[in-house]
Amino acid sequence: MPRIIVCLKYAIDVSQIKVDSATRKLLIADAPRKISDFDKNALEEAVKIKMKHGGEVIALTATAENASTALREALAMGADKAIQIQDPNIQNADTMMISNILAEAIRKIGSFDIILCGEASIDSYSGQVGPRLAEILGIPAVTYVSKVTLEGNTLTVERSLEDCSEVIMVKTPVLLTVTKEINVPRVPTLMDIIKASKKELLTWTLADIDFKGEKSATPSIKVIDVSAPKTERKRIKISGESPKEIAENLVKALIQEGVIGG
Amino acid sequence: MSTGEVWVFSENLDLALEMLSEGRKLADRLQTELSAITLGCNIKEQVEEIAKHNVDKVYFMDNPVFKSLQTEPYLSVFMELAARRSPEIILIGSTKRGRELAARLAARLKAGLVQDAFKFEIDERGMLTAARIVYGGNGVALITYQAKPQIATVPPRTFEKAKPFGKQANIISLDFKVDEPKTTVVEVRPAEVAKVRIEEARVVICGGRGVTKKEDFRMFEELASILGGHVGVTRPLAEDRKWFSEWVGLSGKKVKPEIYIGCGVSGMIQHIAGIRDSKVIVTINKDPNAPIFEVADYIVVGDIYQIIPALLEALKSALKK
Amino acid sequence: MYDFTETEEQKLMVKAVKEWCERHLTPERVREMDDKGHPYPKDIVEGLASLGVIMGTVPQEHGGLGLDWKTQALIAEVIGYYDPTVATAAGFMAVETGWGFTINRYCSEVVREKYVKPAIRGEKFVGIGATEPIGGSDVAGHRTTARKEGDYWILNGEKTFISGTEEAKLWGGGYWVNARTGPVIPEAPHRNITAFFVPIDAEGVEVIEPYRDAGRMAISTGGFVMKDVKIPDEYRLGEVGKGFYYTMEGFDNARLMIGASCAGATRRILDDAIPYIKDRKVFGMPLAKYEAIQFELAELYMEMEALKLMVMKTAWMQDIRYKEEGLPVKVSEAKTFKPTEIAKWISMVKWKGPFLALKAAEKAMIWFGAAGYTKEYLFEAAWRGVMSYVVGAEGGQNIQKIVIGRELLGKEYVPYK
Repeated sequence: MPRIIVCLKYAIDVSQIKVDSATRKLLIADAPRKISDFDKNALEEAVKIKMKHGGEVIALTATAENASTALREALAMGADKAIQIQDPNIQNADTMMISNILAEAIRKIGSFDIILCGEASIDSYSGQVGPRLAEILGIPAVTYVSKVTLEGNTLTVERSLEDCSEVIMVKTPVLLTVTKEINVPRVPTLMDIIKASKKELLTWTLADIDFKGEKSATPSIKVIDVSAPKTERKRIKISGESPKEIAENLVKALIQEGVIGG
Repeated sequence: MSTGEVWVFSENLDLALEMLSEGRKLADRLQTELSAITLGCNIKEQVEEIAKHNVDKVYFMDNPVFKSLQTEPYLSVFMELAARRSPEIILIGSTKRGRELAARLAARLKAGLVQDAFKFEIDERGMLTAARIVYGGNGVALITYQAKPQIATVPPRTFEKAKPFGKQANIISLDFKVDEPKTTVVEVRPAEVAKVRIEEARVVICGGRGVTKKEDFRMFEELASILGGHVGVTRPLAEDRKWFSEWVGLSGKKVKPEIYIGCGVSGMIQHIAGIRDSKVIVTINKDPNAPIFEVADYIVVGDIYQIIPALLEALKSALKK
Repeated sequence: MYDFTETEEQKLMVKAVKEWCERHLTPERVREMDDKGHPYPKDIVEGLASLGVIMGTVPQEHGGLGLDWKTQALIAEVIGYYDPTVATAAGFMAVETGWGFTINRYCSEVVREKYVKPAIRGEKFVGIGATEPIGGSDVAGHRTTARKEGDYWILNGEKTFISGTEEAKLWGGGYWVNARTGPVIPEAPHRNITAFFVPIDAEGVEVIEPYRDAGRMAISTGGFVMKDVKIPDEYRLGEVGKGFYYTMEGFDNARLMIGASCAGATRRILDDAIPYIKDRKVFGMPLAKYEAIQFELAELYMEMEALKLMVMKTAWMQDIRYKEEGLPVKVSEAKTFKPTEIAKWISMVKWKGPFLALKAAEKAMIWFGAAGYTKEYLFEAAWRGVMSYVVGAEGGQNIQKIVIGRELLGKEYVPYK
């Protein structure tokens, strides 16, 4: 009966980001947040494992803002318990700090068999927290997992890479990051949502998990700027008297660009 | 004045060579050495190839333990070497394996990592600054490091491959104790052999709603074949007309080719999101108001049924020369 | 006074319904459903049922979720949004949720187990059979009769323009049928009417071929004839002679759902139209920049938000009414709001919703021009579907005005009974 911890990111909904047209700065503070897409795949997989093998699913997040509605959604999707480490300092945390915070929270939770994370977050897509967390906890990690089978304390997973797919066996405790191919996250039923309101949702501070930040006194990196990308497209009209001439002019332009040989 | 080296590593040789050209620039700017790390099994040729490409040192280890490409052995070598050499900058190729290795290495070294960096600068402090795409393509973040080593992963085709140049590198065999993998690889199934995925295609030809019959894709296939590319479609041709099962767009495949040619593609925003990283966007559409014209480099207002055959001819003669 | 903040539960419920609809009630699917016509696809109704969207207001001990009407109205809005042809809203918000809830209030445990609970699970269909060949609006004047014979009632009559008869026939189910069980009292023709639940497969029930509707094609509109249909007394709904009052209550619930669904359909029409009018240029300028179009958009938007507020207030009143009366069974005077006050508000949302959605669909088609006239967009399907409520489904539009007039002016001004 495995205990599975799912790490969720309360990420920015990138489809709702607005840009200040004058400064090209992204208006991040106003953008709504949601559970990062691939983390939902992780949660769904955890719930599926629990449905098959029994056990417990705990949803965990580190957040500056109150993520309780998102965690309630995780509970509705099938998590048994949800915990948010909420602290304003997390606003500027880098992945190293986040991983350390999650590690401390997991140490406070106690024993576990499997940690599931999404392959990367939908807003940052850097895929660091999962592997970093595994290293901090001293457990093996398998990333980009597209299929999981549990038997006793051994996991057999399929991993999809660029040029091949691997079938890997690993013993618990282990951390996996999953791809969106692994499953289709369920839509919670209204009854699930009603039941979720009775499930445990805890808010811990950094003090509650004894996080003093020594492990990462200064953030390892600093974001200096985030702006909308420049879209400088040339918009050159290729014309000609005939299709033949147009085609020749186009080929000339592409050769000049250096994208076709010649 | 920095003493640490700039390291470059990828299990993918082409990617390693691409990073070497940028690595060279950074090393020169920092007045330090550029070193490549090559770990694998039966890699003598690879090591010699890399050593020719304007790099100062090549550290290598040839050992069967690296064959399965599991992370722990690689990690242990990096840690051992980092302890001895205190690298300034570590560039790792951004493949799925590379991204995982980089993150785990960063955790062990308590270092900062920027994934999928596409541009580097050295600032007045001699520290690295990296740029990467964030927020689903909506933003570019400029990130600076606060400590060393400064680790970054670099996606394929971000930089030009280094050219063979200069004297042969100093090839150094490493003799470290290597950690055993913590997982067991039971099976490796190659992906569809020799098939380049459209996401990695160098050239993408996309057909849109302007295409009237499925058979018309023959001319796009021919165009793709001449240019060494891949054919794709916009979502309506897959979902509505059911001509194909996959499409290029926000909810489908995202491509970043050298050349994208849209044929009869109007340029709905969801499709644009899937092609915006293309180096050169060419579009052919008979509607002069097609939105795709706003985001294209080369625009042809014309009938694809006339332009494409003409283009095929023009390419055939140009490429023959 | 009024706190419009959605509770966390409501937020999550609306989000879940939206997500489900994004996956299953896609524009392509809705177009396919409208093109293909009835019967309503079983996979969608089963999905909606597992989600918990159908008859959510039925108490948990009876198989529902015990949702309040405010939440159910928010859900109906989402359903109207994702299926702007209103076929789904018609069958499953107005008829099943509105009338199904009311059936549950007055039915026996037998009917509940056999029909209500299965309908909540998406297995059977329960509906309202009110309209007769002589007309729909004059409920008290209907001709269906029921006479008592021992433990049974014998029903005779004919019902026309009834939603869902094909679905009921295919899946199993039945209808709320009013029958005269006592003499007509000229000054009070609404008395001596009793409500019954008539299974569609009861002996003597003959289902009429469905009509060829103009819209909301995915749900059938048919009818049935009752010839000496023998109904056990345990299929009677509520007390003898009180059928008319229960029916008014049923209409209240169904009409609230219509108002909410039409607000959703209107929102959908605007959301589909806005990107197009921003993009499409005529004479070098986007349509959206023309004042004429902006003004029409602004008006539709204002009316839609006004409708939504009316729906919210009406749902709030319904919730108070039901809380005071105590579910599930008890017809007594509401303390805070008289049923007639609530009926006025119900008539307001029932009148406003369909007309507004109709107007929005029409305007959108005009903005789009010839393109809007095609089946590439759902506007024409929305127009045809919503029209069913304009022509009088769940109550004639002019009847709604009579109800409002009665409340403003007094009973003595009602032009006809």
